[in-house]
Amino acid sequence: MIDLNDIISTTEFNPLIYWIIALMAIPLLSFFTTTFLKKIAPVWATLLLGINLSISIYLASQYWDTTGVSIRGNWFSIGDTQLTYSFLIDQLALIMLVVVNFISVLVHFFSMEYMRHDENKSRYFGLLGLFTFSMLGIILFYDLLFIFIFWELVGLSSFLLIGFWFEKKSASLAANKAFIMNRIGDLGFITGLMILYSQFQTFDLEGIKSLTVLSSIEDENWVAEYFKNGELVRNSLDGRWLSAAGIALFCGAVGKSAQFPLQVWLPDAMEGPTPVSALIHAATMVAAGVFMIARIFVILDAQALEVVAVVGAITAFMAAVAAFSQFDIKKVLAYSTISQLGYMVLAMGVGAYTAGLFHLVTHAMFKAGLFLSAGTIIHQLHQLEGKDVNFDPQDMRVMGGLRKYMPVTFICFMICALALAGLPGFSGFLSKDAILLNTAVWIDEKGGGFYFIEVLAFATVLITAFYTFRMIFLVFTGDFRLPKLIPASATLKPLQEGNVFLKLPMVLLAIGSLSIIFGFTMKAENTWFYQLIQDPIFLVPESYAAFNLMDLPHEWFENLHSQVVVISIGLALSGLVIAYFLFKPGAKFSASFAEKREPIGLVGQISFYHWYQNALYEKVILKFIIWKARRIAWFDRVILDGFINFIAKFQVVFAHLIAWFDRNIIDGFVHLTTYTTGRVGQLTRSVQSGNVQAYIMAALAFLILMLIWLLF
Amino acid sequence: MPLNTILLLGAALFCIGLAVVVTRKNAIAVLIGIELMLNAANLNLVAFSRFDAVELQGQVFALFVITVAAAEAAVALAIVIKVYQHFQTANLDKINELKG
Amino acid sequence: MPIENIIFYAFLGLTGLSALFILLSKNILYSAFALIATFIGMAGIFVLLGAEFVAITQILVYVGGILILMVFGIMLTNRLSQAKVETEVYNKFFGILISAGLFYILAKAIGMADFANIGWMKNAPSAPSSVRDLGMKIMTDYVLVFEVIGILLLLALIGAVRIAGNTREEGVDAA
Repeated sequence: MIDLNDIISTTEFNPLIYWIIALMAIPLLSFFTTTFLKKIAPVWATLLLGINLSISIYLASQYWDTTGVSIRGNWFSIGDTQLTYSFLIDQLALIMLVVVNFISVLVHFFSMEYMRHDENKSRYFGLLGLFTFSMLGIILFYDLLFIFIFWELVGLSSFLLIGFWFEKKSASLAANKAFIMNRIGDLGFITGLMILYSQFQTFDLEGIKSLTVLSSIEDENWVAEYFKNGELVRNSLDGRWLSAAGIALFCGAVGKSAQFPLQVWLPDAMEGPTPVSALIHAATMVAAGVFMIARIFVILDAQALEVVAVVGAITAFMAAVAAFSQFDIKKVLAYSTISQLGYMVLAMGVGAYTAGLFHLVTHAMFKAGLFLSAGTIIHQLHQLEGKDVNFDPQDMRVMGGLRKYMPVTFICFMICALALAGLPGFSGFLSKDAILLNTAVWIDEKGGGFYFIEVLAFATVLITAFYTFRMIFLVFTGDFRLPKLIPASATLKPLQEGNVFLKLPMVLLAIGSLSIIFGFTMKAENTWFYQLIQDPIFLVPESYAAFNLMDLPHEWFENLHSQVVVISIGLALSGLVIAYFLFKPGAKFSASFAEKREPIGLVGQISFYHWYQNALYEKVILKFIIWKARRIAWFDRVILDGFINFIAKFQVVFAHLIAWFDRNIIDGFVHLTTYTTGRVGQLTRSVQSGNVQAYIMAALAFLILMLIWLLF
Repeated sequence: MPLNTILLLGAALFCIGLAVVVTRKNAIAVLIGIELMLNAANLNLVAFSRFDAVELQGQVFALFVITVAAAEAAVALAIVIKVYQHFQTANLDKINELKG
Repeated sequence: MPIENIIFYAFLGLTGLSALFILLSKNILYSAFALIATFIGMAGIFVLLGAEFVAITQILVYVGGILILMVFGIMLTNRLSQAKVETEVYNKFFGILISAGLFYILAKAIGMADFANIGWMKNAPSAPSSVRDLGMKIMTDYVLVFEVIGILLLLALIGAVRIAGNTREEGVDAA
């Protein structure tokens, strides 16, 4: 039997804690100081983040080969309940540290140009610092309570940055939407926390994992036995709570990682500045959900994982469909982000832990690159706006032929897009291939109705390639459509390539999207990432645990791999080809594209309106809530208010009775007293006649009486 | 000259003075009664002084009483005159500002 | 009956009757004049009692001073156009009753007192005192009281003048 206090006991002092504190303190310092700076705010914030990146790289180089350094301490105690904090520096955390800081620095750098003319740029850079701080908190802490705290902070900074231009109605609405959707997910997170705490009485992940290993299933009950403060604790829950805990925690990830059915906030979140979209809504914050699943991966049971896989597959497919008819370049990227996040979640669901995290890292690179490229385009188009020239610089209908004007941007965008489409030679290929392979193997083992997941996953490959190249053809090939749409803009300065602030981050991220970064190979297993991070073994009791992929025969992977590679490359290429024929310069769709208001046909409508999910929410859920609110208001007004009014009326009547009693009985008594006193006063007053002679007589009369008494 | 006779005269004078003081409305008449009473006291003092030929305390006291009576009469009459100027009357029953 | 006694009773009668007149008369002026008679009668009794200086003082102060003041007071506080300077009378019953009661008690007390047996009176030297002795006493033993009473009289007279005499406005007086 294990003692909980031993598991969560304070570790020996480790100088690493200073580095951890520094990692989190520097972005926080940036948040607190940058807001008060004026001109040097961007430089200062970028500098601080640069220091942070250096620390991350240093730590990564120092702890690369260790299996993980855990630091734990006592936070506070209430009674015999001990709350701890703990950090875990393992390879996953190190990679995430570097990725987050790297992209954060690049985004800071990019923003120096992008936000140059914004009045509130000090606030902007401060919030970027807050976001980085929160994200690093999630990565570094190994304690669900702290992860939750920083999780909320991430949600807050996301809210603040989406609503950065809050004077725009749509931006503040989008911020609210993101916040509320995240709240719904967080409700699940809290539920999961409560289930786990009631079972294990600790939030420490190490403790939870250790106790999960020791817990067992007895008569369909999930039993955990351990010592706490020397006393035997035996917590027994229905076995379904084990699945429920995993699904509830996954709900948090659903909100944060924009999974079906809560993903509707992410497209709206594009109201924020584009670098923010790159940092938060493509590369890091939305990945937090996946990261969190990775952290709790081993305590998910088979049912929970199935839910995760199904949700991921549905999300990936739905978002991919939604992406192919959008006009707004950032919306396309937003839906593609949701789609790719769906892939990651799917990977987690099928047990492909490493593949999911690999995709998380590669996606962070190429999606940030895509967003920054799009940001460059938007920024440069924005320069063309003038007094008489008003257009939406995010709308692809005003673009076209930008390859001629912005070659560097084109190349970077192209590389990242190829990675997104999953073509060989680019990082996205490796990770997506790994996910597809693992999914295929998992479904072969699982069988049954789960084949639809595979269908969705492969269909998404096709659609991804299609919308990616549709975007490229529409944006970069053909003629520049803006002068045609708005003739006045032709007279202004020509469209230019962005300066070094915009170019450098793009180029770096494009380089990061090459598969060569991860190894000179076509197979994901051969990359250093796979060498570093292995799939863990599930810790839940055996009867509830999912099968481990690595337990399956290796030949299955070998056999399926060639098929999967061929099919995925084939699908991606066919997507490319379809896109080419539909949207090449002069093609049918390309020609009519600029005039279109919205796509026609059932598929186009479904895609454009994202499966009518927003409409559904508004029509059904919102209406239901409003209807319910009205009913409750009616109940309040009629029943509760009626009751209260009745009491009030009774009180008034009662008060009248008391008033009568007061007036007649109590006041009567008082009046009687005063009347008596007054009469007595009147009586004694009459003696005071004011006449001296009367006084003399009285005095003498008494004198005589006294003398009579004395003498006789 | 029996002592008792003189003392009875003093008592009679005192009581007459008292009656005058009590019954008269006019302030001057009241003062007259007071003088009578003072003299009645003087009569007693002088009567007993006959038995004190060495110290003569009675006579000395009577002298002082006369002096004080003179002072009192002067002040009292001044007040009466002032009161009369103020209230336009010297009748004591009208001057009852202190009436409760 | 020796002549002394006749004179004594005559003075006694004068005093008592004039006092009664004061009591019975409503006319203040008559009362004031009757008071003169009373004082004179008492002065006579004082002489007979061997207190000549007190008697002289009685006549000087009362008749010469106080009564003149009284008459002036009467004149200043009554409208002289009236036929008679009369005072109204009230409290008759209670006044007379109290006075009579007091007189009864005093008379009873005097009757009860046994003066003949009081030591200091019985052993008193019968030698009559003289004005000289009185003067000596006042100027030696009682000189302090004498001076104080003189100052008192002076102050009282100044005060009386201040009260009655000043009819000017206070503000003007202060200026």
